[in-house]
Order: sequence, then structure tokens, then C-alpha cells
Amino acid sequence: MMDAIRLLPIVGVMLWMLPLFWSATAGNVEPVRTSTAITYVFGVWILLIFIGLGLWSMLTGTIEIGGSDEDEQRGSTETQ
Amino acid sequence: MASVNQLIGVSLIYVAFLFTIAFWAERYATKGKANWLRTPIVYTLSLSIYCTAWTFFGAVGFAARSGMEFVTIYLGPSLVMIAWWWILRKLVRIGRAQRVTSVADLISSRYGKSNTLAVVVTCMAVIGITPYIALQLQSVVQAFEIFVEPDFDGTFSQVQAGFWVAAGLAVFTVLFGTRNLNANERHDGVVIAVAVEAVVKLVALLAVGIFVVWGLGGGPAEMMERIDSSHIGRWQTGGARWVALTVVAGAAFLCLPRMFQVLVVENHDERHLQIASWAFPFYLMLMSLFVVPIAVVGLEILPEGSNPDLFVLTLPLSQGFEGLATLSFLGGFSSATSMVIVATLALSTMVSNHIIMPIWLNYQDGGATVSGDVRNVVIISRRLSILGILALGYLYFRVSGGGEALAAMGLISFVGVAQFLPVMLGGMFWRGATRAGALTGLTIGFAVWAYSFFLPSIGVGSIMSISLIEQGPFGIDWLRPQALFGIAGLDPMVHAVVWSLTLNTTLFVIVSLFTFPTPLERLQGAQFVNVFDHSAAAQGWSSAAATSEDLMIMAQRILGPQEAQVLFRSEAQAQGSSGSLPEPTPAFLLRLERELAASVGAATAHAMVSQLVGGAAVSVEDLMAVADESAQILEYSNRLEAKSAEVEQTARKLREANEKLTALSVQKDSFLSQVSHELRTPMTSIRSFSEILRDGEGLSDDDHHRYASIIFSEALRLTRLLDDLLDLTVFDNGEISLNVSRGGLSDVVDTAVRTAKAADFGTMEIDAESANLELMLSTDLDRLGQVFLNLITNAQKYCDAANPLLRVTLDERDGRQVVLFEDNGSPIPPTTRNVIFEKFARIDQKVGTGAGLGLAICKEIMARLGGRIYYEPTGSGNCFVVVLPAKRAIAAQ
Repeated sequence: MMDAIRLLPIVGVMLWMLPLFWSATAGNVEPVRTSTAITYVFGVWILLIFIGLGLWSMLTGTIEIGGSDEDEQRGSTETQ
Repeated sequence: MASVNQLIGVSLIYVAFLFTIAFWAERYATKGKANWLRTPIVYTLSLSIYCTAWTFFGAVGFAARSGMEFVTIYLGPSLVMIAWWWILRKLVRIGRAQRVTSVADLISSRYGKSNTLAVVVTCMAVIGITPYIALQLQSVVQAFEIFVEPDFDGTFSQVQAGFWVAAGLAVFTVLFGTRNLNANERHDGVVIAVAVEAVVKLVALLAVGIFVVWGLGGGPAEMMERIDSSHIGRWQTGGARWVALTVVAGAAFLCLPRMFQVLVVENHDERHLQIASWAFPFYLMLMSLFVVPIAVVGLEILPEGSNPDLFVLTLPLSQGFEGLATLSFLGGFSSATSMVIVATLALSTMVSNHIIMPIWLNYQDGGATVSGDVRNVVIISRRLSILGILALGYLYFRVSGGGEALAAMGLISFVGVAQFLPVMLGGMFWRGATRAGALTGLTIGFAVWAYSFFLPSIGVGSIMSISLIEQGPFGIDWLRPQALFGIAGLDPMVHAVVWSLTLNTTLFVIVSLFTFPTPLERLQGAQFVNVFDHSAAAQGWSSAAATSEDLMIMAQRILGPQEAQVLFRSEAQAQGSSGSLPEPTPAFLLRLERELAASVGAATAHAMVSQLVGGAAVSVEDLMAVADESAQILEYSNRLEAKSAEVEQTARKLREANEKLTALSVQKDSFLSQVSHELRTPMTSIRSFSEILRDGEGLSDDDHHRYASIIFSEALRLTRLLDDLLDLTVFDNGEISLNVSRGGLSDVVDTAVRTAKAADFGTMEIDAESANLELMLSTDLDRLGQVFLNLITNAQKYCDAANPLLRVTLDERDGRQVVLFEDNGSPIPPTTRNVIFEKFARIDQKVGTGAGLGLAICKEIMARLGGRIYYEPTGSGNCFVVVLPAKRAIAAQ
């Protein structure tokens, strides 16, 4: 599941860069409506937030990341 | 309509409320009860410092001009937060490990604690952020103006209002930003105030949004239709702008000094990052949710020509909702004030640590050891920096006149600070990045930004003439500020982003590749890039000159007496000493330097500690020896190599000794077998003839006599052999005792010749004229005679000439007296010449009756006497050369 945390931003970039193709097709097709654009961009946003939230609740305590200042002080006195 | 006085009253009450919260939070924090202040929620809310008045007011204006494009300003930071695992996690860890206080500190620390680099980054940040601060002042003043206009008759002075806003912000920042110099440059009071303001601006914007969508727009569905039918109802953003804006916003999110302050410096717990990774995008999403509706409704309802940047304020106001308008004003006010406070704080830290303090320290003769409380100096310099930065912002606000659209000014700042990104990321992920590369990249990127984006934006015709922009400087076409290298037709923003970041990164990489980092740079680089491997070694202070007392005095001045004592005592305990002063070990010096860096920045702290420790004494070699892993490995392998060479040498010696022993053993075996063979031959004949004599009845007397003679001669031969063997053993063991006496050489030779002739083996003529042998000797004459006798009998035995002749003469070789024994027999074949002096060596086994020990014994005797014997081939015979003992021969003369 760690890989999910690493991959999420890449998914985000891909989805949010999709509008690049909208402007490319603007010439022959009817331009994308702003309401559609709003729905799409905010939809992706909410999706990413929920995945992030889900990953956080699933992986809390299992992944290795640094602690707080207090942990650090305790740790440093122990090791010295 | 709310009167100006009312509005001012509300603002003052709000500010007082913030003061109270901040003050109260500070008190709790100093008592150590601030744990609840350091929750992920507060951390996330403090990140909202990203949303300034530009966001609050300007986003709507942005949307009213170019539709959905505004959202990119939020997408960039959202992506950076979602990608926390890649960049932010490392950045925060580095910030904590190195006690980094600002962006400038981070970059300077990474590139060998270079103060030059810190100064450059600080100057760039100040230049880049000043317009941004001006922008905040302007937005607050404009908001005021909206409320004022209907009431007053033009006596409202933007300039005056701006001044008072700036002054108020300065007071707040000075009060809470520089109350104390605490560990790691954290400001709990300010952070909590920022968090409260984050809530206020979100609530205000949401309230206005809800009012617009449900109150004016008729619900979401109808709202969407209205959006589509407005003039921003179609997607109109170019792909280049979409990408460039997202990238710039993401970069600025990482590089803006105020963002660095809340993201890294004020971070209390790395675990908060993961929560913020979804919570902050959520905040940003809420902030931008109603932006387009507000813009669309504002464009519809409000009279043409009204400033879209202030729709958030003017919409409720135009509908008579003064309470909502006031709330909205407070939201904008919050956005502006929190940004200015934190940005000023962050910039003042940089200015004070990297510009004012080094200069001040330089002017003090004693440097770090100067008397007096340095803390006061730091705080004063910090306060002066705050005032200076706000004064600059105010000045810019006055000069620019505030005509610019808010969003444009914000973008200029963003692109400016985004120039830090390549150097920052390069420093975090690439060990090869060097100081020279960073300096070049930053300078070029910043220059391109200023030339192609910043200066043209100040106003065409003021700093840059129209002709310069259209035709380039001196008519050089490819240097046109907004069409560099002749590539025209790009959006000015995209153009500036692409060229500045591309040139910045390229030069940074190229110069880094071609320059070599100093040892300190390499060490810091390793510590930054491998921050997750805690094995990183210290920077290696050699503690020669530093005494704990000096360090204590200095630390007290910077950290404060109590904090310094606590630090020193804990270190002393950790070192296991009972006193309150620890030994100045390299590890402790490193820790102290980091603690100091939290207050005065890495470069200054390094300089101060190095003054006490005798920084010049920390040589390159010391640094390398202490910390460079490769050096240690090399040394270790060298030692191993030496060891293995030693072992190899010993093994070779052992092998040689073994070979010698084996050879000796073989020699002994062959000697034994030869001896037994030599003994057995005469023994066999003695046994058989004695058997015949015993059993043989009827033997004639003749036979009897013959057989007895054989037995006798064989017994003699045996005796001789045993005598020789005994001699040889005696010589071999060195147990010989020499019986030294004086006598003439001719007498010795005469005796030998006479004895040999008595034995009379043949008819050899011996020519040994006494006249030729006049020499007095002082040596063991008997032994010498034995040698001569041996040589003469050998010649008698083996000389095969028809008229055998032996000539004995005295001669000289290489300054030594020698006696030559020359015969006229056929020469000894060359192959056997080497072995004639070995034991049991006989030229022809069939000839002669000797045991083959004679010459071996001669050789031994001559060696004992201090002379030598060797064979010398002559044309028609053999010649044995006896080198006489030197000293005795001379002494005899």
C-alpha cells in the first residue's frame, strides 16, 4: 500500500492535465462548458482527497515516518 | 451603509481578539502545555497562509477575466501536498535535522554553509516578496475604500490608510514574532493566530458563496446554467498557461519564505504531514468552490466597470447585506494580515541572520566572544528587519500606485521565488550539486525573471521603454524582454516561466558538473541527500582550542542563560560527567552549532563556533579524516593491504626455511648413505677374506699372507675414512682448536713432499724449490701441511701424464700470497669442477682409493685458517690455488 501513497500524485497530475486536450480540440468541436470543467476538476479533487484520507486511515502507524519533537528529545537522550 | 468608523472599530476588535489568542498561546507554549496547539489541524490551518488576499479577493477577479484558469493556483499546491512522500517528507526531515530557519538558511546550509549564497537568496526573496506585501496592503486599502466611498467626499487617502495598515501589521509582527528566540525559530502565538484567521477567511468566503449560489443564483443547478451562459461559460484556457501556472504555483508553495516557515520550520511532528496531505487540498478546494459562481453573479448584477477583484465585498454590499460584507471584509483582512505577518517574519529572519548579523559580528573585534548579550542584538536586528521590509512594501505600494490587477502582481512574485526550486530540489536529491552551480543558476534565473517579467510589469514606459520591449535593447531583436531568442507569440507569463526556469536549471546543472565541491559542501550534500540514513557523520569540529566555558558564555548570549544551562547539563549527563560543563567533543560542538543555528542561522552559527574553536584550525584534512567515509575505507583497506603483504612475506620466509630444511635433510640422507656405502665396501672385503682365512684349510702361505694383507689394507682404509669423517665433523661443528706456531713455508712444503714421497704412489716428479718458497708464516702449520699433503697425494694419484710433474710455487693474487700446485695431467672436466670440494666427490669412481673427503677437508681447514682454496684451470693441466691466511702472512714479514 506504500506504493499507493507514492503513485497518488502521479494519478493527480495525469487527471488534472487532461484539460490540455480540451483546448486542443477547441477548433472543431464545441468548447467544453465551464460547468463541465468545474464538475471535472472538483470531482478529481474530491477523489484525490478521499483516497488520501483512506490511505492515511489505513496506513496510520504502519509506515515509517519521523516522530515529533518530543519523540526526538526522548530518543536523543536514550541513545546518548 | 457601515460607516468607516464602524469598520475600523470591528477591525480593531478583531485584531485585539487575535492578539489575545496569540498572547495566550504563547503563554501556554512557554509553560510547555502547548501540545494541543501542535495538532495536525492547527498545522493544516497554518498552511492556509498560502491563501492571501490575492486568493481571497483576486481569485474572483482572475475567474471573472479568464474563467477556470484561476484554479491552477490551487492545483499546484494540492499536488505538492499529495506528493508529500516524495518531497515534503524529506524537506521537513532535513529542516529538522539541520535546524533550518528559512529557505535561505536551507540553501546556504546545503551548499557548504555559504553566506554568499544566503545573502543572494535573501535579496532575491526580498525583491520577489515586496510587491506581494504591497499587494496585501493594497487589497486591504481597496476594501476599505469600497466601504468609504458612498459616505465620504474623497478625503479618504489610500496612502494614509496604507500607512496605518502597515504600521499596525508591523506592531503585531514585532510583538509576536520577536518576543523570544526559541529553539528552531518557532512562533506558537503567530501560528495559532494564523490558524484562527484561516478559519475566518474560509467561513467568510463560504458564507459569501452560499449567499451567492442560494441567495442570488437560485441553487446549484440554476447556477451552473448561469455560468455556462456567461462570457466565461466556455473553456478558454490555453494548455501552456494551464501547465505553467500549475507548475509555478506548486514551486512557489515550496519556495515562498512564508510557506517554508509554516511547512518546515513550524512543523512539530512529521506525522502531521500525512494528515495535511489530504486536509490541506480539502481546504483549498473549499476556498475555490464558490469562486466562479461569485464571479459570474458579480459580472451579471454589478454595473459594468466595477472591479472584479472586489466582487466578494461589493456583491453582499450591493444587496444590502452589511453584516455579510463586514464578515467578508474581515476574511480579506485576515488573509492579508496573516500573510504579511508570516512573510515579514520569515524575511526578517533571513535578513537578520544572513545580512545584519554577519555584518555586526564582523564589526565586533572579538567576534563571537564579544561581551554583552547577543540575544538582544539578534532581536533588535530582527525587529529592524521587520520594519524595513514593511517599509519597503509600503514604499512599493505608494510608488506603484496600486493600479495593477491583483492576480498579475501575485504571479510575478510566484515566478520570482520559483527560481529557488531547482537549487532546492537539486540540493535535496543530487549530491553533485555545487555552490557555484547554485549561485549561477539562481542569478541567471532571477535575472531572466526580472528582465522578462518583473521590470516590464512595473509599467511600460517607466523603467523599460516601449521601444525596448518591442525592439529589444539597442535594437537587438533576440533580446526582446518578452520574446527572448526571437521566440515571440508566447504568453508573457509562460515565456518568463519557461525561460527563467530552463536557463536556471540548465546552468545550475552544467556549472555543478564542471565544478568541484569543497569538503564541507560534500558533507552537507551527503547529509541532505541521505537524510534518512542516520549514519551521517558530524562535520567534524576539532575541539582543540575551544573550552567549555567559552562555549557556555557564547551559548548563554544567544540561547539565553537557562536554555544554555539546560543544554550543557543534559550533554554533560549524556557524557557521564557529574559537573554541569560537558567536554567539548566534536559531537557536542555539532549539537551546539545546530542549536545556535536555530536562532541565528546555519552560516552565522558556523562562523561563531568556528571563531571559538579556531575555525582555521579545522583543516580540510581534519574534515576529511573525520567524516569522509571513503577516506576511512581507503585507510582501512591500505592497512589491510599492508597486513596481507606482511603475512605474505612471512609465508615466503617460512617457505624458504622449509626448502632449506628439506635440502639439508636430503643432504644428510645422501651423506649418511654415502658414508655407509664407503664403510661397507672395505668391511665386505674384510669380512669375506677373514672368513676364508678362518675356514680355508689348506691355504698356501702365500695366499694366507695375501689375504691378511688385503684385510690389513682395508682396515687401514677404514681407519683413514673414519679419521677423515672425524676431522670433517670436527670442522663442521667448529670445534677445532688451532695450534698456532711460526715457521717457514718451505719447511711445511718440504715435510709434505717428503711424506708423500714416502708413501710413494708413483713416479711423479715434484718441483718444490725452497728458494721459491721463502715466507715466514704464523699459523697452524700442521693443518696447513695436511692441506699441502692432500693436494700432493691427489696429484700423485690422479695425474695421468706420461712424465707426471707437480710444481709448487709461491705467487700473488689480488694482493694475497698464494701457493700454486700445478700438475701436467689432463684437466678436470668443467662439469665436475663445481663439485670437487664437496664431500664424497670423486672425479672417477674407478680410480683411486680415497673416500672423496680430502678436498672437502682442505676447504674446511683453509676456511678455519682464514684462507681459501680453489681450482684454477690452466691450458694443459690442473692448478689448485691455496690462498694463505692474510694477517699471519703479513705479520710474519
